[in-house]
Amino acid sequence: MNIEYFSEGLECLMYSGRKLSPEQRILIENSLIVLLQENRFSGMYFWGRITATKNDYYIAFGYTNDCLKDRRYFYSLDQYQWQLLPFVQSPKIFQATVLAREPFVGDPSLQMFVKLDPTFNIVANQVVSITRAEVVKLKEEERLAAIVFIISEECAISPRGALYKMVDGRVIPNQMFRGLNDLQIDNLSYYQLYRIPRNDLKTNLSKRCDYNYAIDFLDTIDGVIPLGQSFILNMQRNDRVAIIKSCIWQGMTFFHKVDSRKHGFLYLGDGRKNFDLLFMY
Amino acid sequence: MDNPSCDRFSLGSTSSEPTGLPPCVPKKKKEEECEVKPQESEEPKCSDIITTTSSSSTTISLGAFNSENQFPRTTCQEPPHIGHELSIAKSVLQQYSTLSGDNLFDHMSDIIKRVIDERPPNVIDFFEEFSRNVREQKFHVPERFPPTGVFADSRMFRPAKRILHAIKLPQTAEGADYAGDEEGAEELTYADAELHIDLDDSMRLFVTFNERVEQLQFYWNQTGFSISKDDIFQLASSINRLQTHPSIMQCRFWGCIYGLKAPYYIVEASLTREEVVTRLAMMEEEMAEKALPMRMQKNREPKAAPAHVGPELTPGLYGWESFPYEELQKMTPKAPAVPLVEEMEFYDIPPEYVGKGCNRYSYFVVNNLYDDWIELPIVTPRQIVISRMIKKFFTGDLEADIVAYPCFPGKEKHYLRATIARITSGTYIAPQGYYRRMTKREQNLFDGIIPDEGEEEEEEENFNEGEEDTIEDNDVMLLKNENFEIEPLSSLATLVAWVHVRPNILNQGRIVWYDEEKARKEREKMLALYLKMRLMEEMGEEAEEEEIEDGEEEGEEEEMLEGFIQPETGPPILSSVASDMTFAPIPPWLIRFTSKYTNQKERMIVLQSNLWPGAFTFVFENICESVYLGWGHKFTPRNIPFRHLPMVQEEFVHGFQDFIEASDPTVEEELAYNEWLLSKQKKSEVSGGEDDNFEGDEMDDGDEEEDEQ
Repeated sequence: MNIEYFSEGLECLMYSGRKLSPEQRILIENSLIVLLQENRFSGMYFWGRITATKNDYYIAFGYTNDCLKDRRYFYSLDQYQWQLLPFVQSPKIFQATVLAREPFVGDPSLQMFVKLDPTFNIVANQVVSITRAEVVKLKEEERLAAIVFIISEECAISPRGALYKMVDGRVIPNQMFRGLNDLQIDNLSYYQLYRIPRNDLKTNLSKRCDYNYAIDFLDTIDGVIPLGQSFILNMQRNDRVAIIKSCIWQGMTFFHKVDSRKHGFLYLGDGRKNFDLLFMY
Repeated sequence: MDNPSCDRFSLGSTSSEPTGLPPCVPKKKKEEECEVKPQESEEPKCSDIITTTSSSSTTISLGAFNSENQFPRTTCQEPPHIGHELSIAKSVLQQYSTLSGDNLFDHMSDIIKRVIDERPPNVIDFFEEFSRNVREQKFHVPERFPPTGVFADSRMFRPAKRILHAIKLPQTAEGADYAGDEEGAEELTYADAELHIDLDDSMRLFVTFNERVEQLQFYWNQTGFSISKDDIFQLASSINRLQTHPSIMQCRFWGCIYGLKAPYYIVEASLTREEVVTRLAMMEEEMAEKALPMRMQKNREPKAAPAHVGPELTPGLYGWESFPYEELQKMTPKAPAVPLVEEMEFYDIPPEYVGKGCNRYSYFVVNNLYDDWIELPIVTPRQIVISRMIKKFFTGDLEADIVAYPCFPGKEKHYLRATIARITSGTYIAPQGYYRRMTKREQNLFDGIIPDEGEEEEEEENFNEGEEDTIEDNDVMLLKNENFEIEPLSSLATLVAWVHVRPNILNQGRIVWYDEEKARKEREKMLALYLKMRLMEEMGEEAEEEEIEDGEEEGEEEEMLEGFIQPETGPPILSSVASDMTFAPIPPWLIRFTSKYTNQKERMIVLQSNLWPGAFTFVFENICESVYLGWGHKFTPRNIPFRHLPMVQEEFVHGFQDFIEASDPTVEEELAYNEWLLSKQKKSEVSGGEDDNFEGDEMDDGDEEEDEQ
């Protein structure tokens, strides 16, 4: 959620039942403004909170040039001192993060051991050999980075047209964005995933008859698997605010006001994926 | 759009080309004043400009425009002439599209006008988008679509109307009546209030719920979990509507459970004693009926088995058509009969009575705060047990089906009710000493009974030895402790200082344990007695009052099941939160302060449940409230251990006789068969039911034989 309209956004996101206490709000908002200045970002966003048993993690990100590729994530335990979140590349860490059952503790230097799934070598539908399950050493900071990356990949949302791809390939927030109108607001195909698109450009464009190269390059959320079950959209406040909640990562909430450029997503949860989703409809 | 400005515009744009910029600017005005004059000195450069920029388009469109007479004839000069070329360029731009009826010239001037008027930042980066916007808005100009022509209802209209309707404002149109109405209403409320006091004076003592939502909203806001500010006022007024209902004693906002389509706002209410009594009477009747053995229930008389079930004869095997008719009638079918549906006796653990146990409070829900409150049905133990095994999203529709395995007995409203019961018993907590048990006198007052000696003794026993009678003890309503003084928050920051203030629900699905085995035996006795009575009636003898002796089998069973009769126990009410069951590394509750650094004096302590994510409790001075805002799903470490479907049952085993090739019967044969059927039916009607039984036995025999084969 953009810190330009921090409290307003929080009010709208309260349909998830959670928000920040006044002290947290003041600390986070002002410290993020300072962070924005110090790092010379062009945009600063509050990402959310991951509940841990001792201390909660607060996450924020900012960007300078490209709001998709250039994002830099920060975390904070005390809501005013922000540390850069490491960039995780090893796939093992991601695997371990997904498999880890323990809750976050709130100590970034904590190490835990996660047993990965055993791997099977299969030749012609026959299991040839089984590799022992590997045990990976997982630092909580890396786990945090991985989970933040996964969550924002899978369910960070922006309305169609809010992001604009320039001729040089950079993606920036669209200054001309005036919000979705009455007819578009409750349609999931008008919401896009806030990530570097994974689908082919042609696939994304061909989904629309009124496609626009500059804004339809992103993946839309109505194509997220399981189809029609990953997100739920509710209209709130006299049908003036669209609230989208992710069913995969419960705690991710997105809001968008009709005919206004205000939109944003926030994750307030414990960083656990909902593995039961398919049985829950 | 006026022409001179356009002229200037088009000229400016052409002259801003890099080659011609310096020489052309001074020329502009001259040209406007006298377009006809040839300008020999600038001729080559000007022609350069035009030819370099749009030479191809001019040559193409020239022919078209000649026919339309678009550009002025008077300027027709020798080809390298600035005015001439400009007007050609302009006319090209002004060419109307055959599809939209628009032209580029107007569009570009619109864009430029907008850019200069509005001065948006970085237009050049979003030029395409901007241009699209301009064009989009052009289609909405009032000349094309007059604003009064079509007026669609805006989305906000309907909810707005409904909200206004729900508030039930006095109609201002009838000004004179308004004042009168108001007075009348006031009188009425006064009368109501007086009546209320008369009736419920004794119950006033037992109001423990904090129904002041707006006051609580302040605290919720501080703690950082709450429903939206706009909703809180509506919630307060709609709770007020509920509160004034005569059958409700007290109510509080329980919380919110999110659904796929709409959330449920839930209010917990306790009913007045009169309401409970009337409901109890109805419920007891119903339950007594259900508890009877099946054969004793009304409308459950055993039906006579249908006359023809299964194949009558197996044609083809014996070449039956060659037998004479008389012999055919004597034959019995060899094929096994189709098995009859047998009704199983099935007894649920009965639900707790209204006003007791899980059904002590009733719950009202609503999707939109401006709708009327809907009461949820009572909860049965079976629903609670099954709801523990499944995990489903709520849809927001109370009548929706729950498709799950094991099959949930009921609709979504039952599932919702069961979930609410589980959450309440698990997450309703308070600091130690905040609530207290009722004294004996209060208990009697609450139950509305005049104490007699036997009960008093029981009560005393309860107080003396709490451990023995935990089950009895558990199902009580607690009262707020008037003498409660809050300890310093730091000492409340441990789980030991917090206790559960709602009774624990047993694995059985009830708060008070129900002895199934005892009930089963009673039922058996009742059934035996009943059958005996029936038999005697049939025999025409007088019914004798005899005690039924326990058969040998029953005695054996009793011994075998002795171990199971041990009543199930759980943690008693007011037991510490610290001993909550949880999954290994996760503490059951998280403790947070609302302010860490700044406001030390007025900070509150917040407990968040990990077992039921979304359940919160805060305490501040002497206000302590629990609320639930979540999905209604219990925590599971990774995923819920769903029950697997059982293996597919083995189907009817087919013998070789089931697959016999036979030629289709002819019409005559069919007729003969029908006739035979009819005659057989007639015969069976005459002879009565015994024959059927006999035949059935025969059939069973055949079945066994076949199995052996």
